[in-house]
Amino acid sequence: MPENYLRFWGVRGSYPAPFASHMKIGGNTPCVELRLGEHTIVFDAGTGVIPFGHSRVADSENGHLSVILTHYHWDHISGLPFFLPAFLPGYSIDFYGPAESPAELEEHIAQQMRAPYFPVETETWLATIRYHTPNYEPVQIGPARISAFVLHHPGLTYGYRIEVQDKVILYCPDNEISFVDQHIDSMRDEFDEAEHALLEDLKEEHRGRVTDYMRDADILIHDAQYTQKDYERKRGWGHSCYTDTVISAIGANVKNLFLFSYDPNYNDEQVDELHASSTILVDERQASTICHKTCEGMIIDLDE
Amino acid sequence: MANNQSQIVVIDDSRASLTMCERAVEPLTLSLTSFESPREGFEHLQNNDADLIFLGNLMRETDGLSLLRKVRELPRHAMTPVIVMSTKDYDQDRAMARKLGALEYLIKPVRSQVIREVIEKYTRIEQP
Repeated sequence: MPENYLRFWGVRGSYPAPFASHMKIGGNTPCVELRLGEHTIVFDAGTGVIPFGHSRVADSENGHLSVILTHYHWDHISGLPFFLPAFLPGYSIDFYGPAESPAELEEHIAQQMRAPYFPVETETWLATIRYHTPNYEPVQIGPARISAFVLHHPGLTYGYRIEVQDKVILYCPDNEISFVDQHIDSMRDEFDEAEHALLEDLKEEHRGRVTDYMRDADILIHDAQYTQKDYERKRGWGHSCYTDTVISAIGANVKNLFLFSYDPNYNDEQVDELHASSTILVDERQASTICHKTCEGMIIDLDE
Repeated sequence: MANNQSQIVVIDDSRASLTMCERAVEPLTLSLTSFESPREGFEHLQNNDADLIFLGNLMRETDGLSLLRKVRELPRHAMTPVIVMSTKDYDQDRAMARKLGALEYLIKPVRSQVIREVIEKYTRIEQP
């Protein structure tokens, strides 16, 4: 195993997909481990955090982990009731996430572990737990400098920019890129001629904002939930069509795009097709962005 | 207040949105102060009253609802009417804005007439 790596423990959006037809990709919801020597940072705690936790405890019954959450929709926190390190006194865990205060962050996590929803509350966690809400202030964890920005998704949802080893890694699991463009177009007739130029400016600003945070990323892990056909029906649900993700990444000169948060209805073949189409999009534009298909167990060596 | 004109403050890092607001209020007699920087806008609100505040939501430095929380913590703006303007058209965001005391949650792009109607509704300014 490399000393510094990213490992995908869950790559599905919305809900787990434990179907035989989906197993090459995997059925767990978002969880990505960033290992930097002795430091372990986990992004999101969907059901993928359960096998991560078991694996970690199999290696050691004590240690320190940082768990960074993008938001509190179930698919991003539903692994926590079964997150083994939290139940062991030898572990210490620092949680980070969007909230007004550490107490509010704790409450967001605790709510799903109360009766009648779950028999064991967070009060039974034996690990040393700390909650942090740095909001938009950068956080330093080991060699990684991590800062948050807002994504286009229901509720307050963060994306994270991780700067480490001269690399920029972006984690944006849930983000609807093209809602603004399409919404403005649909309202165009309600505005007079003089305002049409401002509407174009508004669209341009939004596109610029998206490419600004993606700009020159070495690794972009991004929502690519829907095909074009499905996105037509699910526009406004807070997730991207993969073509919008790929085109934005190309525009932002991203080096490596990792398609993420696949719709749980897509089987392995459909995800393969989605990835193949993404690669064609890149080739057609003669872009240098390399488009990758994420799957459970995939490891990216950060020292290569 | 330095004068009798109603004071409107707009904070949004979208230049196009600020321009839309500025153009919308041209027929009205009021004072509109706009800020592209949420930090500078907040500093202004720390030291100045306002009759109505418009906040953008999806900004680079922060989000509008976190900014609204900070504004509400300022005693002078605990009750100031606040309107959120957002590109996010989600019930969850509307509910959060309401909970924080925003009176309206408008989806961008916002038509000039709607901006004027909101100003008329929450201040004593009447459209000509």
